[in-house]
Amino acid sequence: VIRVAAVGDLHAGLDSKGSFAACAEGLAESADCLLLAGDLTRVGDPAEARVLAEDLARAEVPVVAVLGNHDHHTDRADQVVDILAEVGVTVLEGSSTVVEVGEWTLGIAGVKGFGGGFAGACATAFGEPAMKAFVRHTEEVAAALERELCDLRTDVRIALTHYAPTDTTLRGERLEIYPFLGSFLLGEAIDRAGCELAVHGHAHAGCERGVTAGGGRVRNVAQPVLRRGYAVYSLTPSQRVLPV
Amino acid sequence: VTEDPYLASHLQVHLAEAVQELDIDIDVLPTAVIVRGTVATEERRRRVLDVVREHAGELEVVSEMRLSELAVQGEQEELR
Repeated sequence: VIRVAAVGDLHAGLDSKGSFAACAEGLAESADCLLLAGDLTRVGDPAEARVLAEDLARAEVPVVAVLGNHDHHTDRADQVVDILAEVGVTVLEGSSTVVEVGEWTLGIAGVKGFGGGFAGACATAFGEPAMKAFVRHTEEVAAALERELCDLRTDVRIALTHYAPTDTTLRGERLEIYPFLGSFLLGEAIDRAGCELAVHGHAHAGCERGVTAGGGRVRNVAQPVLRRGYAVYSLTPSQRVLPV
Repeated sequence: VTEDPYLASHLQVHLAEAVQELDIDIDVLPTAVIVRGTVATEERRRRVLDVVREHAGELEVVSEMRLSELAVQGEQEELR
């Protein structure tokens, strides 16, 4: 069994020093790795990243992350990535990594993702350049996620995003903001490639458990949804879901 | 029902820009602004209310905000 801890939307700020330390310290007892589903900081200030990095340095398991929209706000995402990398955090964006857990291998493909909405109420690349750019960005990151998942040759595969790949984990959010919370394109990419679990954050008022349109398991691990330090999911390597 | 949706929207924009809180609900009533949402600390709650007061004019600002309460860890979910 592979035990995966996951949480998103920690929103570390200069005043939150040590707030994740207790969680990080005890992690190795309950999990084999930790996934962070974006919005690690409030505004992507490198000083905020250092606050979180100090806590994450206490984790005795591999930590894999994607960034969220908050981490891009001050246009210093590269610095945030570098600071987290200094304490061993692997930050994915259109990329993947493999974690060895005993005799098993866990592959994680990660992208921040983006918005656009879901079936019946989704944006299309039509009209103004700004609208086309919005949708094409989502198309590009979804394609990267599918490519990275397909390339993984591991016993278990996980898709890690900040934005949601399904609207089933958004229940509780206002319908009006669904297009800003995720995109069906991410779900479609996950269903095409196949994986055991998709993990996302971003939807603070959503719900934890959902599925893609193709039936893939999705968990919204935004900390305001979990109401705990992190969730832990145990996966048995033989449970691979075949691509649809 | 929000009496002044424009003010409610502008207050949410101010909150996003000033304190990066994107999940605060604002209801504007004839004599008051109701502020609802969950934030991490008492300091964050104070800052949210300061921003709302700064832009709410003569309206009374009523806080129905809550502080988040987190357990360190919950039950493990076995995915079969």
